[in-house]
Amino acid sequence: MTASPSQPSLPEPFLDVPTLLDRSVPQAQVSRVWYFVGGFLLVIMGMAVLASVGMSEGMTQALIPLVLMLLVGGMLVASFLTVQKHRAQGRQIEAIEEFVLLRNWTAAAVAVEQLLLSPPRSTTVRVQALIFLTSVLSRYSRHADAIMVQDYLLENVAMDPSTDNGLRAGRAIAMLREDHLFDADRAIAELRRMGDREGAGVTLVEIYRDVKTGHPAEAVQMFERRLPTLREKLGHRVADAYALAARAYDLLNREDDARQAWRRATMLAPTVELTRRYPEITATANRFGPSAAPVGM
Amino acid sequence: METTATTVPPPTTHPITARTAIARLRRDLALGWFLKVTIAVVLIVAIIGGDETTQTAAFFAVGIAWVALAMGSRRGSQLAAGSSSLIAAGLHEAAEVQLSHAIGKFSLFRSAKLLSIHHLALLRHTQQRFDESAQLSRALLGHRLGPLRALTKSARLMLASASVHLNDLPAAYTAISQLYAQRLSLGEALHLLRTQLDYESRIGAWTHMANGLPVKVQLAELMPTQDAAAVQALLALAARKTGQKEWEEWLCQRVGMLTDVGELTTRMPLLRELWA
Repeated sequence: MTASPSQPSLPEPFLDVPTLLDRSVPQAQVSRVWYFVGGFLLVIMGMAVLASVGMSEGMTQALIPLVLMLLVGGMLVASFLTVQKHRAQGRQIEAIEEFVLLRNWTAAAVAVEQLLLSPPRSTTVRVQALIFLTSVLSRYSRHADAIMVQDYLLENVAMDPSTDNGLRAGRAIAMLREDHLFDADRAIAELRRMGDREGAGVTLVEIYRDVKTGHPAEAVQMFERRLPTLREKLGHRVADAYALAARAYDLLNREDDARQAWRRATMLAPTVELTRRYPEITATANRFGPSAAPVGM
Repeated sequence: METTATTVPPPTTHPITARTAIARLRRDLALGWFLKVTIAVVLIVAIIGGDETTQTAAFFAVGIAWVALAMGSRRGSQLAAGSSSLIAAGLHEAAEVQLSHAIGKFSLFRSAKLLSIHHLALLRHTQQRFDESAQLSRALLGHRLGPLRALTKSARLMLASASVHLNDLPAAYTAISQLYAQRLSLGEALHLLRTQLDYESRIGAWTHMANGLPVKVQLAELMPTQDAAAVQALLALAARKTGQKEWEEWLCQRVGMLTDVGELTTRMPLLRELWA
């Protein structure tokens, strides 16, 4: 059934994951070298046929270089255009990465949707764009959609171990945010089985799970044991671990430890960002307030 | 003499030296240019003076030769392109092997050769062989890069950083100044900030370093852990030298949360006074 012309069509939903996954599948491409080889052979055969049916020698002599030059010129133009398109998409991906790093989420969302609404030139570009899409979706608290993209990537794309671990850790956090505790547990077990037993990603997820499920003693134990790894691997995101540890200490009524951990967390990251990532820590945030920073920060 | 499996050493990678790589680049670029000119001359002579048979034979021979050379060169391009992800993944030995093949093999494509040299400079920089990294970056910048002109920024950043490490401060200054004339991506701007602060700390430009502290701190937050810690420690030192006590203490505490201060000061002795 088709919509009547007078009926306005509904706008497509923003960042509709099934549509983006479907429309971004790259089309198969044939190497242009074979077009050139085929064209070259066709020219040779065509000229032989024309000569045999009586075309004048002068005409053949003039045609051969002309056709070959057209063939080579066409190849060069096609290659140039392809390279330009590849470069343009490279710049698009670079821009999206910058938007995500600078937390310019609206611009990142618009750019990633624009890129994925048509098939990118290469699978690598598509995978990168889909990874950025998961960050954008998580920022907009669309965790179920983020899980859908993460599942798709983990099932269909072979990635390097570091990207794979990062994606799995992100998916486990999204599952916890969605209260899919059973799935999250399974995802954590999978992460540990994949070789990231003591890694920063799995540790952060486990601390979050313990805080969320009311096991603060286990969270504190893990935090204290693995702090050097967390610090080394997470950089400024170690603030997340300090914030979750602060909540765990708070739940255990260890007020001084909670205050100190919270002071450290807010020294590295703003309170608003920490409470957005982990709504469970809001009570602790309200209790202690952020640490002092120099004027201008 | 009889050799047994136990006495035969395992296969090792012989790292290609910067000098050899640069010599091969020059040789291949010259040979590539000579080949292209020869092909053009053959075609022109065939078109102007040859009969039908000569023309067909010339075009056929040139076509076959071009396709064969292009297909052979393509392998070199793929090796060069693939090496960057190996370097990023820390697989330096594998990257070394790929780059040795890419540089050792003749390529008709100028861009593949230049890309190989760029990636070798990057590998040497990652391996902290700054002398070779500087030589390769300089050699790359000495060529017309054409469609690869985006590499000039990366090569200049490596040259600036390597020059600072080699204490060749005039060369570092020149490279940094030239980068200010170019539009940089966020990643490149972060790299430049790290290098520039290192350079400024060596010449004692403390006031300049302490300018715009909030923005520099926010940029440092986007860097990998060790770079973020080093940059904030350098900013803390600049704050100390310019009498901004509050900033100094705050930045020192942040650095302490990101890295082992003992290790950092061993790597950068200049910072010792912050934790003395």
